[in-house]
Amino acid sequence: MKKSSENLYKYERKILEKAKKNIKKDKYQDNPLLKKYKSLTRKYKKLLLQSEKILRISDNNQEKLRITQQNLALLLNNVKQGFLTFGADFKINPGYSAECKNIFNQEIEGKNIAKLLFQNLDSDVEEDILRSIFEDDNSRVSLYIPLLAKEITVNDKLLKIKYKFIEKENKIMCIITDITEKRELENKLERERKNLKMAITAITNKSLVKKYINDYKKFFEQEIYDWINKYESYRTLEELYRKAHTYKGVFSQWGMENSAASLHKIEEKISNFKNSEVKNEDNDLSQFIKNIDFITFLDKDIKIMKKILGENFLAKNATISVTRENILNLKEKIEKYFPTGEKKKMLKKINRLIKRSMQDLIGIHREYTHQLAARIGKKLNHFKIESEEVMVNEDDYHEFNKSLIHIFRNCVYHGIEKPDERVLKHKPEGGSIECSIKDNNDNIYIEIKDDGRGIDLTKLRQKAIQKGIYDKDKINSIPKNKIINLIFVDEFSTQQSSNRTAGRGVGMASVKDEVEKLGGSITIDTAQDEGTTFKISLPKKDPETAVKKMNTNLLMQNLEEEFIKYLKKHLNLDLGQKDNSIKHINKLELSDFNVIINIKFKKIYDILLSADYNAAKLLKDCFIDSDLDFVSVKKERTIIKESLNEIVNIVVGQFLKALEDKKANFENTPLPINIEGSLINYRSNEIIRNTYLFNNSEIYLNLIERY
Amino acid sequence: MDKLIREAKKSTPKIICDPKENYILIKGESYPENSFEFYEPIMDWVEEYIEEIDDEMTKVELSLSYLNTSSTKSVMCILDILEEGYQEGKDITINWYYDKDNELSYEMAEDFMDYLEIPFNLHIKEE
Repeated sequence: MKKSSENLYKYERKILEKAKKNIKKDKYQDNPLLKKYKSLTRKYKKLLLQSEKILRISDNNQEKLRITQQNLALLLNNVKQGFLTFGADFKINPGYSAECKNIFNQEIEGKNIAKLLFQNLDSDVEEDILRSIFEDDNSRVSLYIPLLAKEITVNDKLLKIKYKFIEKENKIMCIITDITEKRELENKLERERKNLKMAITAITNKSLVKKYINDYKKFFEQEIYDWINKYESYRTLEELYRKAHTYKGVFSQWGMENSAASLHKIEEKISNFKNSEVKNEDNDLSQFIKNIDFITFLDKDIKIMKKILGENFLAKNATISVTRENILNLKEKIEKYFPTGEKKKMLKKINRLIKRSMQDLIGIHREYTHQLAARIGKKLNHFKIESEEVMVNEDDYHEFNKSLIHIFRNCVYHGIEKPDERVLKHKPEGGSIECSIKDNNDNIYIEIKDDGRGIDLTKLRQKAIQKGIYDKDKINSIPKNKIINLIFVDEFSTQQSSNRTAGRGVGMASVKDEVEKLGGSITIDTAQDEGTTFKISLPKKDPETAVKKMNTNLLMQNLEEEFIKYLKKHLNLDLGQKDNSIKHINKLELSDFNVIINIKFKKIYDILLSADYNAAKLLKDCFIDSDLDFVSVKKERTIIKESLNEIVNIVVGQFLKALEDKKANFENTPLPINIEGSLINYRSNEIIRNTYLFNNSEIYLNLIERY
Repeated sequence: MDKLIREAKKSTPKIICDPKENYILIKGESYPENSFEFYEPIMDWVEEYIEEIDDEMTKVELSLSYLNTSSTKSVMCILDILEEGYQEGKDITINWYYDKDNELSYEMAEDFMDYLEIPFNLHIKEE
């Protein structure tokens, strides 16, 4: 650029050079004008210099402006939005963005904006608004702009328009976005969502959906003609209308939009037919019904269901089957199409339908167990899981499975010995953990076995004495399994100090908790230096029975609450360690004193309070607050019985009252059972037994769900 | 003498001529329809100011992002007046602010600098 300006002033430079030469020429030295000529030359030189600079700066500026414009145009033309401006004459200014041409399929410079945008509208109104924007007080522009049409259709395109008034230039700028595709996509998404909802309804209400569809077809294809033959036409019409209306509601609720919409139209048709002046003959009615297509739209919805859930979804056999793959697909789609809140709800429904193998579930502990062993310097050779195929709903077993980590921790931490210790015991350096999962039709059996040192019963016994659970002199008469079960008692730990992997004494209690929540039981076998086996039995269940069990469990919690509250408040008794379990046993051992009472709360339950002599005596003592030492043994027993009866009566009474259900009541009065050491036989009922240990005595509170 | 202040308009820059603070600012874009009309009062002011000052230090700040040709000529005239003053021994410094992302704005500043024999500092615009 510098060169071009130099050349541009070549002629002027020559003049300057010539002038400089002239100044030096001898013949002009005495010329009186020489001084002025010199000054003029100097000024000419300066002017020339200035002109060159101005030219250069001007060129630079032009270039800068051009680049800016180019960048701006690049930006505007590549945004998928049309930008245009127009003034008070409504004529579109030059310099609109390229997208405008795509949107309007033509060059739009000088075109009338109102005619272009509002061709499909009442353009007078829009023109009035535009005029007001230009003519009215500027402060009111913000009132007018929202009145302009924001979504318009031009050339079958759906356009979204933003208007901006540019005060400085008295122009309006329009930013136009073609939202045709976006809207189509939105609609598609909405349709997809509705279809998914429909599919979910279809699987979760399985047989109901099938039944309704069959009934629907049966009615509109056959039964309605029987009606025509049997009844007067007004009754048939009523029935037809009623059925259409009912199914419309049902289908709409299930998200079967096509069917609901079509039935709505049919309903209108029937209504019109009913109200028409002409008295309809049966013949007309029959013809009228024949002319209505009741089936095509329904098939359309069914087709969508089948597409999502598989062709066999509504197949002839009684059960509705959906493949795992279909459900996984459905899950994926729900993830994609629904907002978080709704997603959660729907996934929960779906997850209930997906089963995973128990082996997979338990397998998630493998890696952690290995890592833990490595971290604390132990060797783990095997972590084996041998399993029959046991498929479960992951959701149902999630908490339980999570709690199993405590067992694996225990195996690694307390069970398996350090390598050198194992070598001394002639065991392989590395320990092994073996799990087996078996399934009979009613229960899932899980065994977790380590080949470690076994549970130190001596230590447990010491601890039990220390904690005042058993007396020192009686400890050796307590059976082994009772001692082992102390492991499940909250905060009972044989570890001297606790660390984050084991020894807090809450871990095993939580395993037991989770097992019992599922209505199962857990036992432990252990042999010194041979290892420990945890045996878990879980009833197999479908979600419905799970709910029932929760109810029994919850009922027990309430009962226990009332029981403990009563003992504390009225008898001033604090029950000690609790060992509660849900047991699937069919025999209930009785103790020295037993009181049974039936209640009715949705079902019939037996509540059985058992206490050994010491406990029962203590309860009685507190209850009647008197010394019975002087009375005969027989008399004392009677008083104890009566006291226990009273306690049970009061506690259960309070418990029923707390249920706040008017239908919950006593079936009969409390009944003492006298035969000591006998058993009550229950056939595979659910029994929840809470055991309370205090002062070397035991009280059992049992809740038995009767069939 | 009075202050001369012009707020920036669509096609003219912001002008501050403050005799008390010995401060002159020209900032913005300049492409008025009649450049001379806009700049003449400023030239007159600067001329008068230069005559009035003694040895006070005068700070001139120029931050021009776009000048059309006639504005370029006018700004040059103002700079000429300042240069004359400097040559007469007045303490005048020119600070030119340019946009660091724009090569051309730096070139423009250099061109102005080349033309003058007066302390002329180039700064990157801070914004």
